[in-house]
Amino acid sequence: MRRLSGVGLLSVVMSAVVSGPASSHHSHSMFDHEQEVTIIGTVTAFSFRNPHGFLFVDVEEKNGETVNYWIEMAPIPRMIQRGIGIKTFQPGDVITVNMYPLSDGRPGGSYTTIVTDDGKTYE
Amino acid sequence: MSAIQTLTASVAVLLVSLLPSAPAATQDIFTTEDFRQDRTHWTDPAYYRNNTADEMREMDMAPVYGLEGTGRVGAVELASPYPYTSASEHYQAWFETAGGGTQHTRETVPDWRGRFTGGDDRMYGGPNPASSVVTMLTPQYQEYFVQDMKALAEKRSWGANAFCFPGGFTTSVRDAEEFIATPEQVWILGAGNNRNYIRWIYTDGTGHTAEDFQYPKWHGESVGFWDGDELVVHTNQIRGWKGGLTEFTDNLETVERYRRVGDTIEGEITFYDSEVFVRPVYTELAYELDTNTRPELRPLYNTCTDTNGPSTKVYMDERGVLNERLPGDPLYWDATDPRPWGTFMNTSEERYKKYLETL
Repeated sequence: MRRLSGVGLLSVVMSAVVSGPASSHHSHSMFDHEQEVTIIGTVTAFSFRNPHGFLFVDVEEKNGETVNYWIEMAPIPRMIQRGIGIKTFQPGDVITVNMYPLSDGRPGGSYTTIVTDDGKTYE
Repeated sequence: MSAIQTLTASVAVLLVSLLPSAPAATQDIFTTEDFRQDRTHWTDPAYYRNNTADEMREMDMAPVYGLEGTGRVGAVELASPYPYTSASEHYQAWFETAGGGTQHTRETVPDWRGRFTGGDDRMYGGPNPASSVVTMLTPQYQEYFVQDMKALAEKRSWGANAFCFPGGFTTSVRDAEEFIATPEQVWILGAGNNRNYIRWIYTDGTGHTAEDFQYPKWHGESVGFWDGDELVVHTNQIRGWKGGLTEFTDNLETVERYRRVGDTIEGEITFYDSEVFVRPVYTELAYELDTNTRPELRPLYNTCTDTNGPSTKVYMDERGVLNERLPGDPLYWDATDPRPWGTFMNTSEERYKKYLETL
Protein backbone atom coordinates (compact mmCIF):
# COMPACT_ATOMS: atom_id res chain seq x y z
CA MET A 1 0.00 0.00 0.00
CA ARG A 2 1.41 3.37 -0.97
CA ARG A 3 1.30 6.11 1.65
CA LEU A 4 1.55 9.83 1.32
CA SER A 5 3.43 11.79 3.95
CA GLY A 6 2.18 14.90 5.67
CA VAL A 7 -1.30 15.71 6.88
CA GLY A 8 -1.57 18.78 4.65
CA LEU A 9 -1.00 16.81 1.45
CA LEU A 10 -3.50 14.18 2.54
CA SER A 11 -6.14 16.86 3.11
CA VAL A 12 -5.58 18.38 -0.30
CA VAL A 13 -5.77 15.04 -2.05
CA MET A 14 -8.91 14.00 -0.17
CA SER A 15 -10.69 17.27 -0.88
CA ALA A 16 -9.97 16.84 -4.56
CA VAL A 17 -11.56 13.40 -4.55
CA VAL A 18 -14.72 13.99 -2.52
CA SER A 19 -16.80 16.44 -4.49
CA GLY A 20 -20.46 15.88 -3.76
CA PRO A 21 -23.14 13.54 -2.55
CA ALA A 22 -22.26 9.92 -2.75
CA SER A 23 -24.35 7.00 -4.08
CA SER A 24 -25.07 8.70 -7.42
CA HIS A 25 -22.71 6.53 -9.42
CA HIS A 26 -22.87 2.86 -9.97
CA SER A 27 -19.28 2.24 -8.88
CA HIS A 28 -15.80 3.33 -9.80
CA SER A 29 -14.13 0.15 -8.62
CA MET A 30 -13.87 -1.22 -12.16
CA PHE A 31 -11.33 1.53 -12.93
CA ASP A 32 -7.78 1.81 -11.63
CA HIS A 33 -7.63 5.30 -10.13
CA GLU A 34 -4.00 4.92 -9.14
CA GLN A 35 -2.76 5.44 -12.67
CA GLU A 36 -3.68 7.37 -15.79
CA VAL A 37 -2.95 6.08 -19.27
CA THR A 38 -3.05 7.82 -22.63
CA ILE A 39 -4.29 6.40 -25.91
CA ILE A 40 -4.36 8.00 -29.34
CA GLY A 41 -6.83 6.69 -31.85
CA THR A 42 -9.71 7.17 -34.23
CA VAL A 43 -13.30 7.55 -33.11
CA THR A 44 -15.56 4.77 -34.38
CA ALA A 45 -18.73 5.71 -32.48
CA PHE A 46 -20.02 8.14 -29.85
CA SER A 47 -23.08 7.20 -27.82
CA PHE A 48 -24.61 10.38 -26.33
CA ARG A 49 -26.89 8.86 -23.69
CA ASN A 50 -27.77 8.75 -20.02
CA PRO A 51 -26.76 7.51 -17.48
CA HIS A 52 -23.39 7.55 -19.28
CA GLY A 53 -22.18 8.42 -22.71
CA PHE A 54 -19.69 6.07 -24.34
CA LEU A 55 -16.93 6.72 -26.84
CA PHE A 56 -15.43 3.95 -28.94
CA VAL A 57 -11.92 4.47 -30.28
CA ASP A 58 -9.76 2.32 -32.59
CA VAL A 59 -6.18 2.26 -31.35
CA GLU A 60 -3.25 0.75 -33.20
CA GLU A 61 -1.29 -1.22 -30.64
CA LYS A 62 2.48 -1.68 -30.67
CA ASN A 63 2.11 -5.07 -32.34
CA GLY A 64 0.22 -3.48 -35.23
CA GLU A 65 -3.12 -4.88 -34.15
CA THR A 66 -6.08 -2.48 -34.02
CA VAL A 67 -8.05 -2.68 -30.80
CA ASN A 68 -11.34 -0.91 -30.15
CA TYR A 69 -11.31 0.87 -26.80
CA TRP A 70 -14.47 1.53 -24.76
CA ILE A 71 -14.37 4.90 -22.96
CA GLU A 72 -16.93 5.78 -20.31
CA MET A 73 -18.05 9.40 -20.50
CA ALA A 74 -20.05 11.56 -18.09
CA PRO A 75 -23.86 11.87 -17.91
CA ILE A 76 -25.43 14.12 -20.55
CA PRO A 77 -25.87 17.26 -18.38
CA ARG A 78 -22.26 17.11 -17.27
CA MET A 79 -21.01 16.58 -20.82
CA ILE A 80 -23.04 19.59 -21.98
CA GLN A 81 -21.64 21.71 -19.16
CA ARG A 82 -18.17 20.77 -20.35
CA GLY A 83 -18.97 21.72 -23.91
CA ILE A 84 -19.48 18.22 -25.25
CA GLY A 85 -22.51 17.77 -27.50
CA ILE A 86 -23.81 14.93 -29.57
CA LYS A 87 -21.74 16.06 -32.55
CA THR A 88 -18.49 16.79 -30.72
CA PHE A 89 -16.86 13.47 -31.58
CA GLN A 90 -17.46 12.09 -35.05
CA PRO A 91 -16.32 8.77 -36.56
CA GLY A 92 -12.96 9.33 -38.12
CA ASP A 93 -11.83 12.00 -35.64
CA VAL A 94 -8.35 11.45 -34.25
CA ILE A 95 -8.27 12.06 -30.51
CA THR A 96 -6.01 11.66 -27.49
CA VAL A 97 -7.72 10.21 -24.45
CA ASN A 98 -6.33 10.32 -20.93
CA MET A 99 -8.14 7.85 -18.73
CA TYR A 100 -8.23 5.67 -15.67
CA PRO A 101 -7.97 2.23 -17.26
CA LEU A 102 -10.21 -0.74 -16.52
CA SER A 103 -8.60 -2.57 -13.64
CA ASP A 104 -9.12 -6.00 -15.22
CA GLY A 105 -6.93 -5.12 -18.21
CA ARG A 106 -9.61 -4.98 -20.88
CA PRO A 107 -9.23 -2.16 -23.42
CA GLY A 108 -11.13 0.76 -21.94
CA GLY A 109 -11.43 3.21 -19.12
CA SER A 110 -13.03 6.26 -17.60
CA TYR A 111 -11.82 9.41 -19.32
CA THR A 112 -10.23 12.35 -17.54
CA THR A 113 -9.47 14.51 -20.60
CA ILE A 114 -9.90 14.22 -24.34
CA VAL A 115 -7.86 16.28 -26.77
CA THR A 116 -9.02 16.61 -30.34
CA ASP A 117 -6.77 16.93 -33.37
CA ASP A 118 -7.27 20.71 -33.45
CA GLY A 119 -5.89 20.97 -29.91
CA LYS A 120 -9.13 21.48 -28.01
CA THR A 121 -9.26 19.82 -24.58
CA TYR A 122 -12.44 18.50 -23.04
CA GLU A 123 -12.56 17.63 -19.36
CA MET B 1 21.55 9.42 27.23
CA SER B 2 24.21 11.17 25.16
CA ALA B 3 23.60 14.53 23.47
CA ILE B 4 23.31 12.77 20.09
CA GLN B 5 20.80 10.25 21.45
CA THR B 6 18.80 13.09 23.04
CA LEU B 7 18.78 14.99 19.76
CA THR B 8 17.75 11.84 17.85
CA ALA B 9 14.94 11.15 20.29
CA SER B 10 13.75 14.76 20.10
CA VAL B 11 13.70 14.64 16.32
CA ALA B 12 11.79 11.37 16.47
CA VAL B 13 9.22 12.88 18.84
CA LEU B 14 8.87 15.89 16.57
CA LEU B 15 8.36 13.70 13.51
CA VAL B 16 5.77 11.53 15.28
CA SER B 17 3.87 14.64 16.39
CA LEU B 18 3.62 15.76 12.77
CA LEU B 19 2.14 12.47 11.58
CA PRO B 20 -1.65 11.86 11.53
CA SER B 21 -2.83 10.24 14.76
CA ALA B 22 -2.17 6.52 14.74
CA PRO B 23 -5.17 4.17 14.76
CA ALA B 24 -6.29 3.01 18.20
CA ALA B 25 -6.83 -0.55 16.88
CA THR B 26 -3.92 -2.60 15.59
CA GLN B 27 -6.08 -3.24 12.54
CA ASP B 28 -8.82 -1.24 10.93
CA ILE B 29 -11.54 -1.54 8.34
CA PHE B 30 -8.93 -1.57 5.58
CA THR B 31 -6.72 -4.26 7.07
CA THR B 32 -9.02 -6.48 9.12
CA GLU B 33 -9.69 -9.96 7.80
CA ASP B 34 -12.91 -10.33 9.76
CA PHE B 35 -14.66 -7.10 10.67
CA ARG B 36 -17.17 -9.05 12.77
CA GLN B 37 -14.41 -9.72 15.32
CA ASP B 38 -13.80 -5.98 15.72
CA ARG B 39 -17.17 -4.96 17.18
CA THR B 40 -15.56 -3.12 20.10
CA HIS B 41 -13.80 -0.85 17.58
CA TRP B 42 -16.79 -0.07 15.35
CA THR B 43 -17.48 3.22 17.18
CA ASP B 44 -13.82 4.33 17.02
CA PRO B 45 -13.19 6.95 14.28
CA ALA B 46 -9.66 5.59 13.86
CA TYR B 47 -11.13 2.24 12.79
CA TYR B 48 -12.21 4.00 9.60
CA ARG B 49 -9.06 6.18 9.49
CA ASN B 50 -11.34 9.12 10.27
CA ASN B 51 -13.16 8.71 6.97
CA THR B 52 -16.74 9.91 6.80
CA ALA B 53 -19.33 7.51 5.43
CA ASP B 54 -19.31 9.45 2.15
CA GLU B 55 -15.51 9.30 1.95
CA MET B 56 -15.77 5.55 2.38
CA ARG B 57 -18.34 5.46 -0.42
CA GLU B 58 -15.91 7.31 -2.68
CA MET B 59 -12.93 5.14 -1.70
CA ASP B 60 -13.05 3.38 -5.07
CA MET B 61 -11.91 6.68 -6.62
CA ALA B 62 -9.29 7.58 -4.02
CA PRO B 63 -5.84 7.95 -5.54
CA VAL B 64 -4.30 6.19 -2.57
CA TYR B 65 -5.93 3.19 -0.97
CA GLY B 66 -6.96 3.68 2.62
CA LEU B 67 -6.48 7.43 2.56
CA GLU B 68 -6.93 9.22 5.88
CA GLY B 69 -10.28 11.00 5.95
CA THR B 70 -11.61 14.32 7.21
CA GLY B 71 -14.29 13.11 9.63
CA ARG B 72 -14.76 15.16 12.80
CA VAL B 73 -16.59 13.69 15.75
CA GLY B 74 -19.53 15.89 16.69
CA ALA B 75 -19.38 17.93 13.47
CA VAL B 76 -23.12 17.46 13.07
CA GLU B 77 -25.62 16.09 15.56
CA LEU B 78 -27.39 13.15 13.95
CA ALA B 79 -30.00 12.58 16.67
CA SER B 80 -33.35 14.32 16.52
CA PRO B 81 -33.70 17.38 18.79
CA TYR B 82 -37.41 16.63 19.23
CA PRO B 83 -39.02 14.75 22.13
CA TYR B 84 -41.28 12.65 19.90
CA THR B 85 -40.91 8.89 19.60
CA SER B 86 -43.01 8.38 16.49
CA ALA B 87 -43.66 10.24 13.26
CA SER B 88 -47.39 10.31 13.95
CA GLU B 89 -46.84 11.93 17.34
CA HIS B 90 -44.44 14.44 15.80
CA TYR B 91 -46.74 15.36 12.92
CA GLN B 92 -49.82 15.62 15.14
CA ALA B 93 -48.00 17.87 17.60
CA TRP B 94 -47.00 20.27 14.82
CA PHE B 95 -50.51 20.10 13.35
CA GLU B 96 -52.00 21.19 16.68
CA THR B 97 -49.40 23.92 17.13
CA ALA B 98 -50.38 25.20 13.67
CA GLY B 99 -54.02 25.38 14.77
CA GLY B 100 -55.03 22.79 12.18
CA GLY B 101 -52.98 24.37 9.42
CA THR B 102 -53.32 27.28 7.01
CA GLN B 103 -55.89 27.00 4.20
CA HIS B 104 -54.24 28.61 1.21
CA THR B 105 -55.90 29.77 -1.98
CA ARG B 106 -54.34 29.93 -5.43
CA GLU B 107 -53.45 33.53 -4.65
CA THR B 108 -51.84 32.88 -1.28
CA VAL B 109 -50.11 29.51 -1.76
CA PRO B 110 -46.32 30.06 -1.55
CA ASP B 111 -44.43 30.47 -4.80
CA TRP B 112 -41.71 27.85 -4.91
CA ARG B 113 -41.20 27.93 -8.66
CA GLY B 114 -37.78 27.27 -10.05
CA ARG B 115 -35.33 24.42 -10.33
CA PHE B 116 -33.26 23.76 -7.25
CA THR B 117 -30.21 21.71 -6.40
CA GLY B 118 -28.73 20.57 -3.14
CA GLY B 119 -30.54 18.43 -0.62
CA ASP B 120 -27.97 17.70 1.99
CA ASP B 121 -25.05 15.36 2.43
CA ARG B 122 -25.68 15.15 6.15
CA MET B 123 -28.50 12.72 5.43
CA TYR B 124 -25.74 10.27 4.58
CA GLY B 125 -23.67 10.98 7.69
CA GLY B 126 -22.19 14.36 6.76
CA PRO B 127 -18.80 15.44 8.06
CA ASN B 128 -18.92 13.05 11.03
CA PRO B 129 -16.66 10.01 10.84
CA ALA B 130 -18.36 6.74 9.87
CA SER B 131 -18.11 5.67 13.52
CA SER B 132 -20.72 8.31 14.43
CA VAL B 133 -23.26 6.53 12.24
CA VAL B 134 -22.64 3.28 14.12
CA THR B 135 -23.60 4.95 17.40
CA MET B 136 -27.08 5.68 15.97
CA LEU B 137 -27.82 2.09 14.99
CA THR B 138 -29.23 -1.00 16.66
CA PRO B 139 -26.78 -3.94 16.91
CA GLN B 140 -28.01 -5.79 13.80
CA TYR B 141 -27.87 -2.63 11.68
CA GLN B 142 -24.47 -1.76 13.08
CA GLU B 143 -23.25 -5.03 11.60
CA TYR B 144 -24.96 -4.33 8.29
CA PHE B 145 -23.40 -0.85 8.19
CA VAL B 146 -19.88 -2.02 8.99
CA GLN B 147 -20.25 -4.83 6.44
CA ASP B 148 -21.04 -2.09 3.93
CA MET B 149 -18.01 -0.05 5.05
CA LYS B 150 -15.78 -3.10 4.73
CA ALA B 151 -17.09 -3.75 1.24
CA LEU B 152 -16.41 -0.12 0.31
CA ALA B 153 -12.93 -0.33 1.82
CA GLU B 154 -12.27 -3.20 -0.59
CA LYS B 155 -13.99 -1.40 -3.51
CA ARG B 156 -16.82 -3.96 -3.54
CA SER B 157 -19.55 -1.35 -3.59
CA TRP B 158 -23.21 -1.99 -4.29
CA GLY B 159 -25.25 0.81 -5.83
CA ALA B 160 -28.93 0.83 -6.65
CA ASN B 161 -28.22 2.66 -9.88
CA ALA B 162 -25.67 0.00 -10.91
CA PHE B 163 -28.54 -2.44 -11.23
CA CYS B 164 -31.09 0.11 -12.47
CA PHE B 165 -32.99 0.02 -9.19
CA PRO B 166 -34.82 3.10 -7.99
CA GLY B 167 -32.91 5.23 -5.54
CA GLY B 168 -35.69 4.90 -3.01
CA PHE B 169 -37.19 7.39 -0.59
CA THR B 170 -34.04 9.06 0.76
CA THR B 171 -32.77 9.72 -2.76
CA SER B 172 -36.11 11.25 -3.74
CA VAL B 173 -35.71 13.67 -0.82
CA ARG B 174 -32.06 14.47 -1.39
CA ASP B 175 -32.40 14.89 -5.17
CA ALA B 176 -35.59 16.98 -5.16
CA GLU B 177 -35.39 19.74 -7.76
CA GLU B 178 -38.82 21.25 -8.30
CA PHE B 179 -41.51 22.04 -5.74
CA ILE B 180 -44.85 22.71 -7.40
CA ALA B 181 -47.36 23.99 -4.88
CA THR B 182 -51.11 24.27 -5.26
CA PRO B 183 -53.61 24.61 -2.41
CA GLU B 184 -54.57 20.91 -2.63
CA GLN B 185 -51.28 19.24 -3.50
CA VAL B 186 -47.58 19.76 -3.67
CA TRP B 187 -45.53 17.86 -6.25
CA ILE B 188 -41.83 17.36 -5.72
CA LEU B 189 -39.96 16.38 -8.86
CA GLY B 190 -36.40 15.40 -9.60
CA ALA B 191 -34.45 14.20 -12.62
CA GLY B 192 -31.25 12.27 -12.12
CA ASN B 193 -29.11 10.97 -14.94
CA ASN B 194 -30.57 7.49 -14.67
CA ARG B 195 -33.97 7.94 -13.02
CA ASN B 196 -36.73 10.39 -12.27
CA TYR B 197 -38.42 11.20 -8.99
CA ILE B 198 -41.89 12.30 -8.13
CA ARG B 199 -43.59 12.70 -4.79
CA TRP B 200 -47.20 13.67 -4.31
CA ILE B 201 -48.00 15.47 -1.06
CA TYR B 202 -51.71 15.73 -0.35
CA THR B 203 -52.55 18.93 1.51
CA ASP B 204 -56.28 18.69 0.87
CA GLY B 205 -57.06 17.11 4.24
CA THR B 206 -57.83 13.65 2.82
CA GLY B 207 -55.11 12.01 4.90
CA HIS B 208 -53.39 8.69 4.40
CA THR B 209 -54.81 5.60 2.71
CA ALA B 210 -56.86 3.41 5.06
CA GLU B 211 -54.66 0.93 6.86
CA ASP B 212 -56.17 -2.09 5.08
CA PHE B 213 -54.87 -0.77 1.77
CA GLN B 214 -51.51 0.48 2.90
CA TYR B 215 -48.34 -1.08 1.48
CA PRO B 216 -44.72 -0.05 1.04
CA LYS B 217 -44.06 2.30 -1.86
CA TRP B 218 -40.77 3.50 -3.32
CA HIS B 219 -41.41 7.11 -2.35
CA GLY B 220 -43.94 6.37 0.37
CA GLU B 221 -47.24 8.16 0.73
CA SER B 222 -47.14 11.78 1.85
CA VAL B 223 -49.76 14.02 3.38
CA GLY B 224 -49.17 17.50 4.67
CA PHE B 225 -50.45 20.86 5.80
CA TRP B 226 -49.36 24.45 5.53
CA ASP B 227 -48.29 26.26 8.66
CA GLY B 228 -48.29 29.79 7.28
CA ASP B 229 -45.74 29.63 4.46
CA GLU B 230 -44.12 26.44 5.74
CA LEU B 231 -45.05 22.99 4.51
CA VAL B 232 -45.17 20.11 7.00
CA VAL B 233 -45.19 16.57 5.61
CA HIS B 234 -45.77 13.12 7.08
CA THR B 235 -44.67 10.17 4.97
CA ASN B 236 -45.43 6.53 5.71
CA GLN B 237 -45.66 3.31 3.68
CA ILE B 238 -42.04 3.76 2.64
CA ARG B 239 -40.49 0.77 0.99
CA GLY B 240 -37.44 -0.36 2.94
CA TRP B 241 -34.28 0.29 1.00
CA LYS B 242 -30.67 1.44 1.25
CA GLY B 243 -30.01 5.13 1.64
CA GLY B 244 -29.55 7.89 4.18
CA LEU B 245 -27.31 6.94 7.09
CA THR B 246 -27.44 3.30 6.11
CA GLU B 247 -30.59 1.41 5.22
CA PHE B 248 -34.13 1.41 6.52
CA THR B 249 -37.07 -0.95 6.78
CA ASP B 250 -40.69 -0.83 5.64
CA ASN B 251 -41.37 0.67 9.10
CA LEU B 252 -39.67 3.97 8.28
CA GLU B 253 -41.83 7.07 8.67
CA THR B 254 -40.65 10.64 8.36
CA VAL B 255 -41.70 14.17 9.17
CA GLU B 256 -40.43 17.02 7.00
CA ARG B 257 -40.77 20.77 7.16
CA TYR B 258 -39.95 23.19 4.30
CA ARG B 259 -40.00 26.92 3.69
CA ARG B 260 -38.60 29.20 1.01
CA VAL B 261 -36.14 31.86 2.11
CA GLY B 262 -35.06 33.93 -0.86
CA ASP B 263 -33.46 31.61 -3.39
CA THR B 264 -33.26 28.69 -0.96
CA ILE B 265 -35.77 26.04 0.00
CA GLU B 266 -34.80 25.28 3.57
CA GLY B 267 -35.98 22.08 5.13
CA GLU B 268 -35.52 19.40 7.73
CA ILE B 269 -36.41 15.74 7.98
CA THR B 270 -36.72 13.41 10.96
CA PHE B 271 -36.50 9.66 10.42
CA TYR B 272 -38.37 7.20 12.63
CA ASP B 273 -37.44 3.52 12.26
CA SER B 274 -36.92 1.88 15.64
CA GLU B 275 -35.71 -1.38 14.10
CA VAL B 276 -32.72 0.49 12.66
CA PHE B 277 -32.12 3.60 14.80
CA VAL B 278 -31.62 3.71 18.55
CA ARG B 279 -33.21 7.16 18.46
CA PRO B 280 -34.81 9.21 15.68
CA VAL B 281 -32.39 10.69 13.15
CA TYR B 282 -32.54 14.30 12.03
CA THR B 283 -30.95 16.32 9.28
CA GLU B 284 -31.39 19.76 7.80
CA LEU B 285 -31.92 20.24 4.09
CA ALA B 286 -31.14 23.13 1.76
CA TYR B 287 -31.92 23.43 -1.94
CA GLU B 288 -30.45 26.38 -3.82
CA LEU B 289 -32.15 27.94 -6.82
CA ASP B 290 -30.37 26.89 -9.97
CA THR B 291 -29.70 29.99 -12.04
CA ASN B 292 -28.16 27.97 -14.88
CA THR B 293 -31.36 27.84 -16.88
CA ARG B 294 -29.94 27.08 -20.32
CA PRO B 295 -32.49 25.17 -22.40
CA GLU B 296 -29.99 22.39 -23.09
CA LEU B 297 -29.87 21.70 -19.33
CA ARG B 298 -33.61 21.30 -18.79
CA PRO B 299 -34.70 18.22 -16.85
CA LEU B 300 -35.51 15.17 -18.90
CA TYR B 301 -36.84 11.69 -18.51
CA ASN B 302 -34.05 9.15 -18.01
CA THR B 303 -33.92 5.43 -17.60
CA CYS B 304 -30.86 3.57 -16.44
CA THR B 305 -31.71 0.66 -18.71
CA ASP B 306 -31.05 2.83 -21.75
CA THR B 307 -27.37 2.02 -21.45
CA ASN B 308 -27.30 -0.68 -18.78
CA GLY B 309 -29.71 -2.87 -20.64
CA PRO B 310 -33.00 -4.57 -19.85
CA SER B 311 -33.85 -7.12 -17.19
CA THR B 312 -32.37 -10.63 -17.29
CA LYS B 313 -35.57 -12.02 -15.84
CA VAL B 314 -37.56 -11.59 -19.03
CA TYR B 315 -35.85 -12.98 -22.08
CA MET B 316 -36.37 -14.50 -25.49
CA ASP B 317 -36.26 -18.29 -25.28
CA GLU B 318 -35.21 -20.88 -27.87
CA ARG B 319 -38.64 -20.72 -29.47
CA GLY B 320 -38.23 -17.00 -30.18
CA VAL B 321 -40.95 -15.92 -27.74
CA LEU B 322 -40.76 -13.91 -24.53
CA ASN B 323 -40.43 -15.96 -21.38
CA GLU B 324 -39.64 -15.42 -17.70
CA ARG B 325 -37.02 -17.02 -15.55
CA LEU B 326 -38.23 -18.83 -12.41
CA PRO B 327 -36.58 -19.56 -9.04
CA GLY B 328 -33.67 -21.87 -9.66
CA ASP B 329 -33.02 -20.68 -13.21
CA PRO B 330 -29.65 -19.04 -13.85
CA LEU B 331 -30.01 -15.23 -13.95
CA TYR B 332 -33.31 -15.43 -12.03
CA TRP B 333 -33.96 -12.19 -10.16
CA ASP B 334 -35.59 -12.65 -6.74
CA ALA B 335 -37.98 -9.74 -6.34
CA THR B 336 -38.89 -10.86 -2.81
CA ASP B 337 -35.36 -10.28 -1.46
CA PRO B 338 -35.82 -7.31 0.95
CA ARG B 339 -32.08 -6.60 1.07
CA PRO B 340 -30.53 -7.27 -2.34
CA TRP B 341 -27.46 -5.27 -1.27
CA GLY B 342 -27.04 -7.66 1.66
CA THR B 343 -27.22 -10.66 -0.67
CA PHE B 344 -24.69 -8.96 -2.95
CA MET B 345 -22.29 -8.21 -0.09
CA ASN B 346 -22.49 -11.70 1.41
CA THR B 347 -21.65 -13.25 -1.97
CA SER B 348 -19.06 -10.56 -2.64
CA GLU B 349 -17.29 -11.34 0.66
CA GLU B 350 -16.96 -15.02 -0.25
CA ARG B 351 -15.72 -14.32 -3.77
CA TYR B 352 -13.28 -11.67 -2.62
CA LYS B 353 -11.73 -14.01 -0.05
CA LYS B 354 -11.25 -16.64 -2.75
CA TYR B 355 -9.87 -14.00 -5.12
CA LEU B 356 -7.30 -12.90 -2.53
CA GLU B 357 -6.11 -16.51 -2.19
CA THR B 358 -5.21 -16.50 -5.87
CA LEU B 359 -2.91 -13.49 -5.53
